Amino acid sequence: MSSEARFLTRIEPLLAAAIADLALRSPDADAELSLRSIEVITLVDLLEAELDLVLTSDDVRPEHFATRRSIARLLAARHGGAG
Amino acid sequence: MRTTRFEGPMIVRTAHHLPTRVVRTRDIGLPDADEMLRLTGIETRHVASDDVATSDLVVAAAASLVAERRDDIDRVLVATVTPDHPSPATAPLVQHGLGLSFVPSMDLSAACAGYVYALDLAARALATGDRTVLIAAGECRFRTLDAAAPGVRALFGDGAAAALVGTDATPHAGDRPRLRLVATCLGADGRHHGAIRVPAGGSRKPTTRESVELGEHALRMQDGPTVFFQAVEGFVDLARETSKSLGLAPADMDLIVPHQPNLRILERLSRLLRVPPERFAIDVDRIGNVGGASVGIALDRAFEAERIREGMRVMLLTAGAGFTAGAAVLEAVR
Repeated sequence: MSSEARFLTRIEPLLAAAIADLALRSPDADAELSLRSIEVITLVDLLEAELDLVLTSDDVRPEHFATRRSIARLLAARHGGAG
Repeated sequence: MRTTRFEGPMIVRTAHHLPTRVVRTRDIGLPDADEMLRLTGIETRHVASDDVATSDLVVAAAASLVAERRDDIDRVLVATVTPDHPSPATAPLVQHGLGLSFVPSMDLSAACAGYVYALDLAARALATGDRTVLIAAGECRFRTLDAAAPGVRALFGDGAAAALVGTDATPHAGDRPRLRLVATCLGADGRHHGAIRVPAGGSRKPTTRESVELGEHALRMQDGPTVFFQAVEGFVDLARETSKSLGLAPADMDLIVPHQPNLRILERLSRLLRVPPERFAIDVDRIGNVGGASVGIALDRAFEAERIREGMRVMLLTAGAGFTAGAAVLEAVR
C-alpha cells in the first residue's frame, strides 16, 4: 500500500471529527470537500496531534485541502512517506 | 527585524478604558454565530456609544495617569487606525482633553502593533531628553465594520490603553511594579499590505459615491486558513527572534502579553512556542480584538489581576495589518 493510500485511511476518523456533516459529502477520494476555515483549522490541529508534525501556512493552501487525496498527498510529502 | 536594547526607560504606570456597553457575538446578526464562536473564541466585546470617538476613549484611559503630573509630560503618542477624523490627528484632541501643556502630540499608524511601536518611540524620545511620554492606543472600530462581512464583524471591539513611559526618576505610586524596558524588536513587511485593509478613503482610492456604495470604507480581511496560519507564524518568528537576540528563549518569559486577534490563534501560538497558556495574558474572549489597544489593555488587566510581580520577565508580542510587528521585553522592578 502506498504512503498516500495509508494516509487516505488514516485521515478518515480525523475528518469525521473535524467535519460535522461529513456523511453528507461524497466519500470519493477525489471529490471536492469544500472545507470551511473552521474545519481546516480544526483538522490541522487533529492531524498535527495524530502525526506529530507542524503544518505551515503554505501547507494549508486551498489546493492541499481540496480533496481527501490532496490532503493525503500533502501528509505523505510532509511525513516523509512514513504513513 | 531589528532589536534595540535600552537602559533606563520604563513603563511607570498603565491604564485602560472599555466602554460600558457589552455586545455578545450571538447578538450582532451573524448568520452562523456558533461557528464564529468556535472559530474565534470571542464571546463578547465592548462597544462605544455613538457620541464617543477614539480620542474620548483614550482620554478616559489616560486621565488617571496624568491627573497629578500634567507638567511632567513632554510628549503624547497615540496609536490608532480609527482616528476621530482622517485629518488632523487624534493626539492633539487627547492633549487638549487631558489638559496638557503645549507638548508635541502625534498619531502613529501601525495597526495592531501600534502600542509597541509607540513604546519604542517613547524610549527613543527619553534618550534625547524627554522626561515622561504618554503613550496610548485606542480604537473605535466596531461601528465602522461592514454588517455584510460577518467574519470581520465578529472579531472587533472598542477600547483604549495608555501608559506613562519614564525613567527611574519618574515619580510613581509604588503600589504596582514598574516595567523596565530591556529591548524592542520591530519590523514590517509590505508584501502583505492587501491582506487586511480599508480599501478606499485614502489617496490611492479617494472617497466617491461608488466607494461608499461598495462598502470600501470598511475593513476587509482576506478570508481562509492561510491568513490564520500566517498570523501564528508571524507571532512565533517574532517571539523567537526577539528572545534569541537577548540570549533567551520564549520559554524564559514569565508572562507573554500578546495582541489579541482571536483565541484560536493564541492557543496555537502557545502550543508552537511551547509556552503553556497560563503564562499568556489572554482576554480576547471577553473583549475581542481592540487593534493596537489590545496588548495595552491585556497588560493593564494583568497588573490588575496581580499577575505581574517584581523580578518577572514580560514580553509584549504584537503583529497587525501592513504587516507590522513589534515585540518588547520588560523586567518588573520596584
